[in-house]
Amino acid sequence: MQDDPSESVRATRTTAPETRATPADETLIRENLRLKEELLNARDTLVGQEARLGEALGEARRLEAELVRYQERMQKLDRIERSPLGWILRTVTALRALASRRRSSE
Amino acid sequence: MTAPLSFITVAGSSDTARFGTTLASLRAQSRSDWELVVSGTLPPSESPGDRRVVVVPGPAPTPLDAANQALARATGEHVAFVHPGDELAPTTVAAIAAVAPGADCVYSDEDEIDDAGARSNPFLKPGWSPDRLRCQPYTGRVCALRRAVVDAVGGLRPEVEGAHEHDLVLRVTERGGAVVHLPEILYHRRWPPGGVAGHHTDLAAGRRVIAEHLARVRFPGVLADGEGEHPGLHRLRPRLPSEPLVSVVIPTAGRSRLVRGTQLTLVANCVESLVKRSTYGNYEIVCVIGDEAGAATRARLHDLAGDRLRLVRYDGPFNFARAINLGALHVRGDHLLLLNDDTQVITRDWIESMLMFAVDPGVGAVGAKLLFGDNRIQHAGIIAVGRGGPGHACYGFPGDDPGYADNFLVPSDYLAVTGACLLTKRACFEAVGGFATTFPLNYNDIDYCLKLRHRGLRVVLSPEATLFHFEWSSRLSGEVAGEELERLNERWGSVLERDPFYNCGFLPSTDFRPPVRTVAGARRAEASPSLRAPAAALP
Repeated sequence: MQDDPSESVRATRTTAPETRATPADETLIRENLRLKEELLNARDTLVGQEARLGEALGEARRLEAELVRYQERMQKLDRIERSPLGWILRTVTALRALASRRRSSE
Repeated sequence: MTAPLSFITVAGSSDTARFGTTLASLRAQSRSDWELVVSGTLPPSESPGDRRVVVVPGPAPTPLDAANQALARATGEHVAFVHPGDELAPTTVAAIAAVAPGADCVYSDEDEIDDAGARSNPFLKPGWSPDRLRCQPYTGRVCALRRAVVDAVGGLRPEVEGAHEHDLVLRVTERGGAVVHLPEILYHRRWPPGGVAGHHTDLAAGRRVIAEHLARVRFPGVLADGEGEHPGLHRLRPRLPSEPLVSVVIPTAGRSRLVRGTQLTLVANCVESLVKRSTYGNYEIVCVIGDEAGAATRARLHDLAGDRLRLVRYDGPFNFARAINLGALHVRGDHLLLLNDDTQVITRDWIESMLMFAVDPGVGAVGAKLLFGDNRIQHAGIIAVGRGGPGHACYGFPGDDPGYADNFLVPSDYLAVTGACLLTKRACFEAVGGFATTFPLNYNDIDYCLKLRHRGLRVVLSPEATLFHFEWSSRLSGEVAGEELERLNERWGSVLERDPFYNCGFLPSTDFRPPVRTVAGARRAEASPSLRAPAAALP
């Protein structure tokens, strides 16, 4: 895909009617347009990468927060397990398992 | 220790019976460090033992003087007005205190409550939209304002009684501090028996408030004459101090189509309406024209637009974004008006109506309201409801639909507006890299608006600028390339999940439908609450 240099040249002449474009100028104008377009694309890429980076940072923060939450829960469970309540829970669980085995053997 | 929030109320002798419910809702707060400053008298049933309740005995010449006396006694970081009888959700103080330290203004959603405790008419508000606030006092209640700023601007002004709260919010927010919207219903407004008596908006005061605000901020527009058919809303007419050159960029393949029974060359029809209807004088037209367009079309365009027209040739596979960029590289103006060739101008001052918002340095892009040929809404802002793809607000609704809480009658911020008619500063366009060519057909406009918002610029829709857009009416907004949507989500996924201008309380569609309440004793939600009456309720 290319833009028509002659149209571009005419456009530029309208902008600066006092100048007359020579063939060398036309090459320059075409090159100028190409560079400007490239610059636009580069800036778009930059903003796009910033946005992606923001997305990734956000996701990382979300995962970190989730990790902290899980760690806190694990610590809480650990505390419960080591407490008298934990001993009771383990005993009840063992008794339930025993009762269940008995029922299945009958 | 200073309370985060002081509530201000003026209790007349007739309010004492209702006042108890307000006080009860305050005492039921999940945070207890609030303050209530009452100008007037407490109900006889209230014991004076609660240190959080401060009574300013008065008398004051007017209710507003009484409110100012109460403001002067308030010690909270923020102040909020509450009307006797109204109720607060139990988490109001906690929710406001969580965000208030960084904000000059915090406002929440609200609804109405009757004497049986049934709630109705939820008003699910949009995010901060200063251009909307000029035309509609949409922040309503609960609205917590930083006390230091309220003091600095002189409190309530008795001379604009009837529109005094709108006036105060405008004067506080003009100072440029942060404004936060809490999308939760934290305020339940109780109507007095017999309807809205005593809550009327004073039209003359409202117009004075807006006129003075426009002068203070040097807004390039004035109040439109009269109030027309929408009392309580203020319409603005552009009054630009100068006419900067606007460069209209129209990509076209020179196609023809049957429009309302007539075969039209779309771009010629577009340019003809632009030239014949527009009242704006200083514009140029840059048509980015494909090889498919014949010589007759080119000649017709020259005939229509004369010296204003420049043609930029485009060949190769069609990439809308690239065509726009190419056109933008050829413009001379400081403002780019991107326009689809299948549009037709309706309102004559459409360019001025968009420009009055676009000249604001904080605004990156301005959109217009677009209608199908049969007058249904094609575009009135773009809404994102998750990663499934953004969509047009109220697509296909009747063109004269005022929208939810009249949002189609007032300028509003949106996450994005369509590129079918979009005014933007050339400097902004260049700074963010124009339209991304990686979105050849779809979402390039949304991506552009999101890039602007990423840079801290706002995107506004001006409903006074109206055009026809003969988009294929049968095409569903969801029919788009999956790859482009994937790319959009890669860049902006989390942004699209939280559209600040589309309240998360709405059902996940794009037509502002509030959910039907299922809470026992609550009434069915109504679709569009009226904002007009409560706006000027006295504190």
